[in-house]
Amino acid sequence: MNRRAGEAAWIGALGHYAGAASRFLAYAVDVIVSWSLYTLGVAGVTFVIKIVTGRSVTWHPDNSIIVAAIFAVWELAYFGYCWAAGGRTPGMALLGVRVVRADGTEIDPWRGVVRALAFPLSIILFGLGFAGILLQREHRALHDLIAGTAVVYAWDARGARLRSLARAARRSPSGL
Amino acid sequence: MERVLDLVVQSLDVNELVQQADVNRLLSRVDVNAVLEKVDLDALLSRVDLDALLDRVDVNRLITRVDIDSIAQHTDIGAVFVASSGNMASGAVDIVRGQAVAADQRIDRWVHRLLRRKTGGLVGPPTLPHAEAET
Repeated sequence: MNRRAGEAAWIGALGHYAGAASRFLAYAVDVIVSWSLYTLGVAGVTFVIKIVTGRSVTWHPDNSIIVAAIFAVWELAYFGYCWAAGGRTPGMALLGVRVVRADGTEIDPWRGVVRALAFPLSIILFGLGFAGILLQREHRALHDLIAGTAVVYAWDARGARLRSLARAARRSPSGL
Repeated sequence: MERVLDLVVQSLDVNELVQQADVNRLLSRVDVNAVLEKVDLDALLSRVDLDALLDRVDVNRLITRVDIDSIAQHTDIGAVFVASSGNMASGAVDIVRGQAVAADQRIDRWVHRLLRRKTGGLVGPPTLPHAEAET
């Protein structure tokens, strides 16, 4: 497949069910973003406590369950809010994918929350919940089936097409 | 007889005659549509020497009369120029998305082959939100 055909193929994929690679990459970006925000948040809280009380706070391993619980709540809030508010997380926005209802219509906020609550199930079951992304025609994971959602490619196709035309013009020896 | 006719024709002042003729009245009696129907435009155009015609066109003068602003407003050309000078980030995002979609399609093909399933069929949900904004 030549370069132009490749570009046409991915621009033309708009509205199709997103595959495993796009979703995994989006999730990886989200893990980095959410972890960074969490770390910043913890550092901020520690700093504020130190300023207000004059005591330095250290996070002991004894408190690891509490820290893990706070982290779990934070992750739930991060994904739940993003899916409920706009159907996409920062990672999904970067990769150009979006959560929609199974019929393709816009996601309801409560479905976003249900999806976030069901998401750990896909992990807890030895990751088998994600098998649907690979094996199903609709690439729906367990949490998608529970929440009645699907993930599709949804990017600014017009902008992508124009950028593609501009790149083609730059590659062309005669320019535009 | 022919000799007489020749003498008459020679003695006529054709220019004088044309000046006296009411050309407008004459043209009003001509059925232009009927004339055009008899004209073979393809044959006519095939006889036109486009190179010679274009040589006579003052392209520079023509370009000065083009309303670039209007063209940019009514077509995607302006957007293409903007996109061509767009930031590197957009290009990088396009590349990442393109690579990810290519990987998705490759994985799909492997899975279809593994499961001995026919490729194609359902590729997306029946409707998509913000279709107008994103297409």
